[in-house]
Amino acid sequence: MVSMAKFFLEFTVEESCGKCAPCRIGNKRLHELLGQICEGKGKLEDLDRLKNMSLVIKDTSLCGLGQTSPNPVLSMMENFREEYLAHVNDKKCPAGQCKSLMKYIINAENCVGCTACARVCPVNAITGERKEVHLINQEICIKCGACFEKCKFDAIYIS
Amino acid sequence: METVKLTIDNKEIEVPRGTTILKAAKELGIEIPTLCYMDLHDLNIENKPGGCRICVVEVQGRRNLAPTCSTKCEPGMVVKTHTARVLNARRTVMEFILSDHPKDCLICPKSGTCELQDMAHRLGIREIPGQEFAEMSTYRKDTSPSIIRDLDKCIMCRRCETMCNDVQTVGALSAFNRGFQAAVGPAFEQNLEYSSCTYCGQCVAVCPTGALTEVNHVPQVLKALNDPTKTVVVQTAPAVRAALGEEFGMEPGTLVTGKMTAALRALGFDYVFDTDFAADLTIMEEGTELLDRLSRHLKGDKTARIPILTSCCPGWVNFFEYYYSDMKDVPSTAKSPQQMFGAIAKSYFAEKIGINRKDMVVVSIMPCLAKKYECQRDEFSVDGNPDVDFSISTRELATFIKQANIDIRNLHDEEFDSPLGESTGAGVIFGNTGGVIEAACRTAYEIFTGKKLERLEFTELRGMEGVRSATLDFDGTPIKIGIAHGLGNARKLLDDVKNGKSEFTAIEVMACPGGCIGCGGQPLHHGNSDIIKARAAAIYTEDRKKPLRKSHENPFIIKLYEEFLGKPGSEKSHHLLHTHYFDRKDKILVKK
Amino acid sequence: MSKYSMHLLVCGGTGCHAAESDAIVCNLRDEIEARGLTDTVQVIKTGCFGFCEKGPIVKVMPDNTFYVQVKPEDTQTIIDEHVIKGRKVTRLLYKDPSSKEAVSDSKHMDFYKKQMRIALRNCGFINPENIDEYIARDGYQALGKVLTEMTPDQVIKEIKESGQRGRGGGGFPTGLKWEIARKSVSDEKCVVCNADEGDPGAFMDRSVLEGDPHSVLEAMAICGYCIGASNGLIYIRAEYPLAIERLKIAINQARESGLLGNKIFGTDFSFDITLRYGAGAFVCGEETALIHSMEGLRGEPTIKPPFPAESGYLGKPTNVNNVETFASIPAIILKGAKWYSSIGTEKSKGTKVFALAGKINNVGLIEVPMGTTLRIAWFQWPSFSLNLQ
Repeated sequence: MVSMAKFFLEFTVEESCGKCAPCRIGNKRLHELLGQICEGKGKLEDLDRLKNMSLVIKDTSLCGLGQTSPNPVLSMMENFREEYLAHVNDKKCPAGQCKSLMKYIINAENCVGCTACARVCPVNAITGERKEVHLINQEICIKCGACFEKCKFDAIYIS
Repeated sequence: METVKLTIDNKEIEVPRGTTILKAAKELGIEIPTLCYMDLHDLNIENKPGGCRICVVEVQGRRNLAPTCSTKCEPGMVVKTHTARVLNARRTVMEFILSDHPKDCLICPKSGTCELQDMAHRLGIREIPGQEFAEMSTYRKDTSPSIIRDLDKCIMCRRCETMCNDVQTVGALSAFNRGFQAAVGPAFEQNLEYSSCTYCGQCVAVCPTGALTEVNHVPQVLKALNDPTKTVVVQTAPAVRAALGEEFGMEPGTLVTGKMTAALRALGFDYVFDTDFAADLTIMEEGTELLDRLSRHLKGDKTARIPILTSCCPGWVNFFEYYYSDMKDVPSTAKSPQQMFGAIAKSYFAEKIGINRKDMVVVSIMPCLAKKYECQRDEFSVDGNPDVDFSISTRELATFIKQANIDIRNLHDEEFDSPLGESTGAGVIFGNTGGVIEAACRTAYEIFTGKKLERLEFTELRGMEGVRSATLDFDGTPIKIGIAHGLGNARKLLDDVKNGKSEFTAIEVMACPGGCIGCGGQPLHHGNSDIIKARAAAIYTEDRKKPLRKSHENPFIIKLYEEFLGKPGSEKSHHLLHTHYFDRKDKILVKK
Repeated sequence: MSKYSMHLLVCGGTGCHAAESDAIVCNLRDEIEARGLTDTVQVIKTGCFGFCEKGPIVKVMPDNTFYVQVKPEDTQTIIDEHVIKGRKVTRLLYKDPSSKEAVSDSKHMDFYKKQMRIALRNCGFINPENIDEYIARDGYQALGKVLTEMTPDQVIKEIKESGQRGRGGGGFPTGLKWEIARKSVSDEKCVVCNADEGDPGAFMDRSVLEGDPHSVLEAMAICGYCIGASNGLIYIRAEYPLAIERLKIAINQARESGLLGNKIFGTDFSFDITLRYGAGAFVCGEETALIHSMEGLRGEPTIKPPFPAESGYLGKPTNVNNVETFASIPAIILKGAKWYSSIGTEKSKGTKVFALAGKINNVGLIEVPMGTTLRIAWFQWPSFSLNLQ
C-alpha cells in the first residue's frame, strides 16, 4: 500500500502545473517521504508528518488536482495503517512491493538444483552446482523477481 | 454602492461588494501575511495569482482554506484568520516553499530586503523537516547586460510575469516547465539577452527574493577610483536624489541631493556632476528637433513626421526597436541625458581639463537598469572607449556608500561641481512621468512664441494616470501632448501612431510606471505605491527650489553652445548628441 | 439494417484497432465478396465493446455470438463455418473463467449481464462513422424533441430532476450547472466538452468518442439550446487520434444532415462544434485550466469564483461538461428524469463507466449503476476476479 500511494503521488508530482506552492512542492515532499518509508528509512514520527502534509496540501491547494492528490495516502494510512507501521517499525513490506525491504531467498528443502533460476537471473546473482541447493547473493540481487517466476518447485520465497 | 457585511475574527465589518477578504481584514487592522500578492493601486497594477497560499484563512462552511488575496467577501461570511488549522497550514506551506529555496541567505544579494526571508522570520520558522533528502529544483544561471536571473530562488509568485506581460507588454518572461521544475523565464529557457527583454527592470523591482537582481558594477567603479592614472567623473540622475535616502532609513520622499553629492566626493570621485545638466542639454536638442518638425509640418511638409516621441528612456528605446522597428524615424534622434553627458564629458570637458578621453572614466548613478545596457551599446563609444563606462543603480550606490563607512545621514550638504553640475528645475523633473515633456514645453513655448512663459508648472501634464493627454496653447497654435508611463500604456499610443490615428504633436514615454522614480534600480518599494508618489512629490519640490527652471536659461548650457557646439541641431551637436536606431530583432539574431 | 440477414460487428476501438481489427474487417469483406454474400451479410466496424482484454472482438448478429481474440487469418473459418454452415466456431468463443465453458450468446456473459449501459448504449452496436446508424437507434431524437417541444427551462428542469452529476470527477449537478450558465447574461456563450481524459489507466471518454461520437454532439447541441450558446468546443487530447478522426467525421456528417449548423430542425437555434487539441497535461482537465489552454495560455487553473458559467472562454459564460456526462443526456431526455433517477443511490443517480486495468482477468470497460461496490465487481463477477498468482 505504501508503494501504491507512492505510485499515485508520482503521477501527481509529474502532472502538477506548478502554480501553487502546496501542490508544486508539497506533493514532491510527500513523494520523497514515502520513498524514504519504502526504503526502510522511515521513522514513526514520519507518519504524523505524512498525515499533516497531506491534510495541508488538500486544504490549501488551488485546484482539484492538489485538493485530491494526497487522498491515496490518507485513505491508505487510515485503512492499512498496519502496513505503514510495518514499514517504519519493522522495516518490512508485508505486500512484498518495496524492493529495499524484501529479499528473495532459496528454500534449501525445496530446491532441486535445476539451475533454471541461475539461468534466468539477469545479473548472475545465483550460484550453485547442478542438483545442489542454489544460493542468491543479496549484494548483487536487483530483486527483479525473475527467479521467483521461473522456479517450478516453490523453492524461492520472499522475506 | 452595494455593500456586504461579514465577520472576521469575531469583528463585524461592512465593505463594498467585490472587496477581497484581505482588504476587509486590513480595514479591521488584521494584517494577513501575503507573499505572492502585490498591489500597486495608484498605478493600477495588481498581482494575485493565488499561488503561494500563505494568505489562507478559514471560511465557515467551506471545505478548504481560502486565499484572502483573491477571495471576495460575501454576505454573512464568517472568517477566522488565526485558528490552529490556519496557522498550521500557513507554517507547513511556508516550510514547503523554504524546502525548495537555497539557504545561502548570508551571501544573497537580497539578504535584508528579501520578502521570503521576512516571511520566514514573521512565521517563526526554525527548521525545515525532511531537508536532508529533499531534492531542490535547479536551473541555469543567466546573466544579461543588466539583469541576473538565479531561478533556484524563484518562488513562482509570478510578479515579474505580471509586470513583463500585463504591465509592460514586453512578453519576455513567462512560466515554463510544470510541477516541481516550474519557474519563470524567457521562452524555451533562452537567455534574457536573446529575448524581447527591454531591461526596464520592473521584474527586478518586484521580485520578492534573489531570483532577479541587477548586475553589480561597483567593483569596476572601485577599481577605477583607485587607479591614479584615471580621472573619474560621476553623474547622478534626477530620480536618485529622491530615493537614495530610503536605503538609509529616511522617509520616502526625502531629498538627499546635497548629502549624496558629499558622499560621492567622499567616495573619491574627482568630479561630481549632475545628469540634470545633460537633461537641460537634451531639451535644447530635442526641443529644437520638435520645433523644426512642427514648423515644417505646419507648412505642409509631408516628410516631417508628427508626433515626435521622446527618446530619453533606454527601456523605451529597446522596446520600440524591438516591437516598432518600422517606425524608427518617429522618435527624436536625441541621445538620452546619460549618453549626452558622457559624450560632452569625454570631449568638451576632457579638452577643458586637458586630458585624453581614454584617461577619463565616466560613471553614472541611475535609477535604471536599462542604462547598464545602454552605455554598452557600440554606437555610444569612440574607438572602443565608451562615453559612459559604468552605470550603477541607486541600490548599488547605497551599498557602496555603506561599504565605504560613510554615514550619509550626518554629512553636510555639498554642491555639484561646475560646469557639468549646473542645472535648472526643468532638468530635475525628468525623473517623473510627464517631466520630460513639461521641461520641453517650458523651452519650446518661449522659442516658438517668442514670449515669456508666465505659468511654469504644466500641472495638466502631471499625475499617475497611465495614459494622459493635454492640449497646450502655444499662442494660438494648439500643441497636443500625449504621455504614457509603463510600456503597455506606451503601446496603446504607439499603435495609434502606427495606424495613423494619433492626433498628438509630441508624446513622452517612460518605460517604468511613475517614470524614473519607479525604475528597477531604485530602493525596493515592496508593493507600496505611496513610496513612488512620495518620490514624485520630492522631485517637484526640488524643481520649485531652483532659481532657474527653464533649460535654455541654464548659463552653462548657453556657454557650452557658445564655446563648443555652436547651436542646437548643429553638425557638431548631431555628431555628439544624436543617435540612430536599429531593428533589435535582427541584432539579437546576429548575436545568437 | 433490415436488408441484411446477418451482421458481423468488428470492434474498432483503440485496443482492437492496435490488434489488427482493421485487417479482420478487410478480410471479412473480401471473403464475403468472394462468396457473393454482399447482399445478405454486412460487416460493420463499431466502437469499443468494453471487453478489451480479449480483443479483437467479432460479434455475429442476430444470434449474439461473441468471438474473442480473433486473428485476421480466422476470418475464413468464421465465414465458412458460421456464416455459411451456421456452425459456431467453438475455439473462438468466449470461455467463462470459472466454469471454463464456452459461452455462445453474449447475453449470457457475466461481463454484460450485470452491466447497465446508458452512456455506452451504442458502443459496440453501431458504426460510429455512419450517422444513419446512430439515427436508427433513436439518435438526434432527443435534440429534435428538445428543440420542437420543450423550452430550455423545461429541459434544465428535466436534467435537474434526473439527479445526474458531472462524470468528470467533481460530481457537480449537471442541471444546476446549466441553470447557472443559462442565467448568465451575455451576447455570446460557449459549450465545452472536456475530453482531456488523463487519469492513469482511464479510457472511458475515449471509448465513448470512438464508439458513439454523435451522442456527445447531440448533447452539446441540447446544452447549447438550454444555456443560449451557439458555439461548441471539444477539448480533446491529441493523443486520441482515432477519437479525433471519428469526431471529425461525425461533425461533418451532422453538418451535412443539418443537425449542426444554422437553424437546426428548422428552428431559430443554430449551433456548431469545433475541435481543440490538448497537449497531454493532466491539469488541463480542470475546467479553468482547460479554458486557459484553449485560449492559448499556459494551462493553469485560476481561483473560482468566477466560475466558467459566469466568465469562461474568452470571458464569455461557458458550460464545461465531461464526455460521459454529455453521452447520457440524450437518453435522459428520451426516457425521462424518473427513469434515470431510479438508477443509482440516494445521492448519486444513474450509471458510471469504469475502466478496468491492472492485474485482473478482464481489462476493459464497464458501465454499472452508481453505488456498485468494487467487492461486487471483483468477487461476485468471476470475470473480474483478481488474477493473483
